[in-house]
Amino acid sequence: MGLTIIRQGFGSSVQDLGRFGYQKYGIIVGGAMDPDSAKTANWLVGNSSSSAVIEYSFLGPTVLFTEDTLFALTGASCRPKLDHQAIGMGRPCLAHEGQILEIGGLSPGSRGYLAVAGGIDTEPWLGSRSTYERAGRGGFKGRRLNEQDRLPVGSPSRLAAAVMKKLAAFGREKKAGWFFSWRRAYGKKQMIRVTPDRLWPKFSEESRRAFLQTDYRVTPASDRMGYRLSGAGLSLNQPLELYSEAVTNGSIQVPKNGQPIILLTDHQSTGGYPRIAQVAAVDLPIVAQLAPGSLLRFRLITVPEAERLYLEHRRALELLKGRISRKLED
Amino acid sequence: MRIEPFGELAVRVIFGNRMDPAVQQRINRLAQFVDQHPFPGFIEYVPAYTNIVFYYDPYLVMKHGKKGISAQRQVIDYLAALSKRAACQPEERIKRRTVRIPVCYGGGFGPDLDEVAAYHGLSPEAVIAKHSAPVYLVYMLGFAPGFPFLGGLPEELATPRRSAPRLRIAAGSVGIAGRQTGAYPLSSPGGWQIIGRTPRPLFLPDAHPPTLLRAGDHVLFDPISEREYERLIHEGVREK
Repeated sequence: MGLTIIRQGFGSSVQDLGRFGYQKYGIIVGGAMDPDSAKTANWLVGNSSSSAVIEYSFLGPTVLFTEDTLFALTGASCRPKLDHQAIGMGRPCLAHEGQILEIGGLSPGSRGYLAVAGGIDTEPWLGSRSTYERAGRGGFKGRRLNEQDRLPVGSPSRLAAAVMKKLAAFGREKKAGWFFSWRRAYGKKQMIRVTPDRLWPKFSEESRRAFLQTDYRVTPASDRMGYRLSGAGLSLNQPLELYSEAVTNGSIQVPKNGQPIILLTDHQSTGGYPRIAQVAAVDLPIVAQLAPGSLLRFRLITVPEAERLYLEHRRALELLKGRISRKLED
Repeated sequence: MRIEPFGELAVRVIFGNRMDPAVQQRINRLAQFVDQHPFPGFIEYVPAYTNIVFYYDPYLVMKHGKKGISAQRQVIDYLAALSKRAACQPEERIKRRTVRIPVCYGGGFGPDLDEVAAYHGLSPEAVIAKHSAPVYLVYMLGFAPGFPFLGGLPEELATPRRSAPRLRIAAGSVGIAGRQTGAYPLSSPGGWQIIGRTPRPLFLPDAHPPTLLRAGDHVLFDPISEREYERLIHEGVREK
């Protein structure tokens, strides 16, 4: 029992917060592109932060619930309907067995998350349920979701069960009267903060200036592995012979054609291209929400500043988690 | 040795600037030390040819660490102290595992063997003999699950990548690209010169660890016949 995919939407897959400890074997971390939204969705249905959710891009799936299910939607904006009734985002909703959730198109933003109480309960691989397409492992059969896929759902937490009972007593609309959204503005031109990579000084002065003072566009050749940008070409002062070494989420590498690539969650564990900068972790979920065609402008900050922003952000997330669980307990 | 920030969630400990078994040994040693003495907030490390990156969670470092000092500073200080201790300990002889990888060279399994031989003015047999002679060292894994970056390819076998990459290279393919040699754990597109194929899987999704090779291993390529290849594949299938 659980849920069945009626229409797969686009790029829909099972994800959690990633697979840690195996990059030294060449196995990627993966996980939700916008982990803040994935965590929030989980909290709204009484799950732990790392329960598995369904991530979708640009177009959400249509899902049939094959048992009574508490669910929540977060991430990019959409107009979800449960049996044709608008239900809204960022709140726990109760679906009865046989009801159909239609998520539809996303905008603004690119990635959405569907969490269900108990979490998507596919078999974990190396401690995670994140889908690793290239290795054909993790998530649902190691691949993206298709029509007719039947996903198992775990047992709701005691808190979730209590919320379900309360919502079941509501009249027609079985959804919480409150909602939480992770307030983010996706600007027409998004500012993205970066810290310098150790090869920053090896790029020409002109390149460094262009990198910070001109706009870059997200091209359609962008996916969970990375975003290819187009804009002012970047070059090194002199060619360097580089060995492959560890790269990470947000590393901005510059291949021979001079057009930067931002590595994202499904990036390989190592790479051999020169890197100019590193996206501040606090801005990575924002990058993940940018659609092809979006413009972005990089702003250089120091590493201590990036750490301060990150810690502040983590504290804000903790506060949100606390507020949600108090609401659920009410 | 020096330690540099790699963003605000990682640091890179740099031991040298070129491929060197002694550097690899120092990297492995520090990795082992951190395995034995992990710090609060430590997530994982990724070794490479000349350096090793340590990923950590600054939130957990701060929660368990000193107030008023940045998480990154605390991680750098910790790793600096740890590597000093690692360096002070008597140099025990490092025990490296040796992994033998059977390879069927040439024919349908190694479509570029003749081209590589012609490029160097050698016979295909001479290429096989030279490729299977050295003891290779696994410096790192990356690119794909279980994909080894090996050091030790004889200079006279260094061959440029193919001008037109293949859309599909079969899993197990053994190839040369520039001064690198390695084997593909999964089938994928690629521009390497393919000289043979191994029946031995490099990615072991149901094993722990999930790969045949680990950084620091020695590797030997053993030439085998096509019949032997088929026999080993058959045995491998039967084992499962």
